[in-house]
Amino acid sequence: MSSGALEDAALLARVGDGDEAAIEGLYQRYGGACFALARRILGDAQLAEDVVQQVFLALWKGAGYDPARGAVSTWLLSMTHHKAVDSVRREGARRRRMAGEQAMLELEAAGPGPDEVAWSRLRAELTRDALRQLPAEQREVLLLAYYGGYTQREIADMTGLPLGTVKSRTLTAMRRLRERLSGAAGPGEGPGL
Amino acid sequence: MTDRQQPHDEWDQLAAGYALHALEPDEELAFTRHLADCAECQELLPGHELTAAQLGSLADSADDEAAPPWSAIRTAIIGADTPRVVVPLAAGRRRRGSPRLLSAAAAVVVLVAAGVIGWRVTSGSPSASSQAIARCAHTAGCAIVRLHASNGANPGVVLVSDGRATMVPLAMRPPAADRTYVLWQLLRNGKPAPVGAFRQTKGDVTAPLVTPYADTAAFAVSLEPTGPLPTQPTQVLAVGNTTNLTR
Repeated sequence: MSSGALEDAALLARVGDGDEAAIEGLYQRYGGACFALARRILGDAQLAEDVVQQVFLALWKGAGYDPARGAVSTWLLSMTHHKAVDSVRREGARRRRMAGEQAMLELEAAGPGPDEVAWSRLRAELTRDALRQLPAEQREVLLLAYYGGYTQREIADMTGLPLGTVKSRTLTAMRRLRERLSGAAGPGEGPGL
Repeated sequence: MTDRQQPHDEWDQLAAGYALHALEPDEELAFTRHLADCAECQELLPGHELTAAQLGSLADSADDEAAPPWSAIRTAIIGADTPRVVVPLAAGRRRRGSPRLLSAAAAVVVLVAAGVIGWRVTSGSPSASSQAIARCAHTAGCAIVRLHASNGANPGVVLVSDGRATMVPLAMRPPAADRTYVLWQLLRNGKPAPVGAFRQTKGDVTAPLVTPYADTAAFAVSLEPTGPLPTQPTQVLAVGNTTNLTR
């Protein structure tokens, strides 16, 4: 957890009071990441903007965020992912992008920037490295689900794998990623807790 | 699919699929129902959701197209005619966030002076912690603030009553010899104020609030080098937003 989590907590409390500046502050922090994720899944800036609007509207209305489920940044990205996948499923297969490992692994490393940006880019780099270390078959099911928006049953149909294999590969991949990224969520996760 | 028929490994698989939003609707419904009563899954899921969010960070570093400016989406979120709200430092009323009642048992917690200067410390059995929390839940004017780590863990609870904060560690390891925990009040203007340092991870510790509870947006615990109280936290371990006082 970065020290920015404290500022997030203050902003969240003010959002609860109906303070517009606070929701704008959270948007300035996380709107870019949410938009980038939605656009990556949807491949369409307008649809991505619609998704981001829905996510921040839910936050503004106090709908859904539960501090027990983790940091607000995690919730915002989860909500964005959820709504983007819903949208891509509604749009149908023609909009689905085979957001496979190639696209993810070819991403260029970022240059230096302000601390917050540098940290998020470092985290992306760590995530990319952790993905590279996964066996290809685990990476495939993970990325088809997360960035392709496919259900596990659809992935089984596409790949010809038994559904149980897709599920077990996904779980193993998630566990391995978590182990390798245990220090990448923020400097405050480990010691003492 | 029922809990009895399903070995928990299969629920683990569903939890991972749920975090990726990759389940079929019938599986998602089954998992959602199971989640409500399964402490193991409730503990497991935030980790999967955090991992999924980290996958999302790849998109952030890759996409060259900037997000729309706030002005472009403001109307859809706030509404065109909604006046801008300015919250004074003496905080307004919270719109949501009533405290959760934790358990029924209530008992008097006897506080004894010990440990770090400024704190009062109780003996630290799990039942004493539960009783302290339950007592607060049933005491008018007492607030319960649950602290959350970014991995979803719940390392402790802060109880606030009569202008004092009581830190109740639930799952914290003793700090290294040259480190100490510091409890912070995060004010609604975003400024942190250190309440006090503590090293106890078994007993409850209590100290006076730095500023009134109504001016507090959140509490946090950080890990700091032993010594004078810092003015800014360096390693934040957990944060919890304030709740309404029990009536």
